[in-house]
Amino acid sequence: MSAGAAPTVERVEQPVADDEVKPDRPWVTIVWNDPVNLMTYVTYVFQKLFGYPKAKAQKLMRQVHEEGRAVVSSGTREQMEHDVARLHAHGLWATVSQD
Amino acid sequence: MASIKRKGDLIRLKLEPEERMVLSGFAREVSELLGGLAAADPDPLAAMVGMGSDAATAPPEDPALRRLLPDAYDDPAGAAEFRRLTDDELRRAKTSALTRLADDVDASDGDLELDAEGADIWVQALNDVRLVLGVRLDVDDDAGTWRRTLTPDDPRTPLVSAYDWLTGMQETLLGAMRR
Repeated sequence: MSAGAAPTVERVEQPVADDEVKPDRPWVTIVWNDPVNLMTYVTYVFQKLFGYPKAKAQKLMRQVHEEGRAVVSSGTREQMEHDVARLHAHGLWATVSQD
Repeated sequence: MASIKRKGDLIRLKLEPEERMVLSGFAREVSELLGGLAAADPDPLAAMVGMGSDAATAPPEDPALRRLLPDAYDDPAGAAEFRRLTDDELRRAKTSALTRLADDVDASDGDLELDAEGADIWVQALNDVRLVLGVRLDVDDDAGTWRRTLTPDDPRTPLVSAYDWLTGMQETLLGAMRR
């Protein structure tokens, strides 16, 4: 793996608790505002990691900046953990949660 | 003052000796904070079975380190499990980027060329250095009121100019990377 690449998550197989089976509620990746990350950098990271066009990346960046947070991706829990790991590797403050 | 210019597919940087010291010094310091060479070169057997020798589950005590390695879940159990699985590799990726930046700078006489991959690594490493300085300086909002709370005799005051310079450096580099 090349330098600066994102960590991957390898989840150990484990029994699924009852409250985790909610197929109608997708998992989401939330990016939180912070006072250090540059707006241009956050936009750059959204474009790079998610392949979003610049306009969409900028819109999400503004939402993070103005509302304090934004949902930047949604899908399975595993996908969201992968996204959060990559965002952390890029220095963005991100969490996984269920919508 | 550093000059950063795009030349075809490459980005050319010219750095003053003092700027090289700041860049390489802070990058190595943050790399050390993350565990330094131990993080970059883990026990191969432990890496093979997917666990560090002392895989972390608790968030770091140092707030700067906690900012570099944040919780992935609000729920502490979820955050601990995620950290156990990803902490080693996250530290390794960051350390490797920071070391690459410092090595590039130390190997140069002030004139550097970065390709797209190199610039991407640099911009991430610069960001991690700024995150650490941001925590140390209590940068706590977008309006910059933290600056007014720092008195001239505060031992952290000299860090402000380094932080500002690194911010300008990252912004200029991002501008040069944009097509």
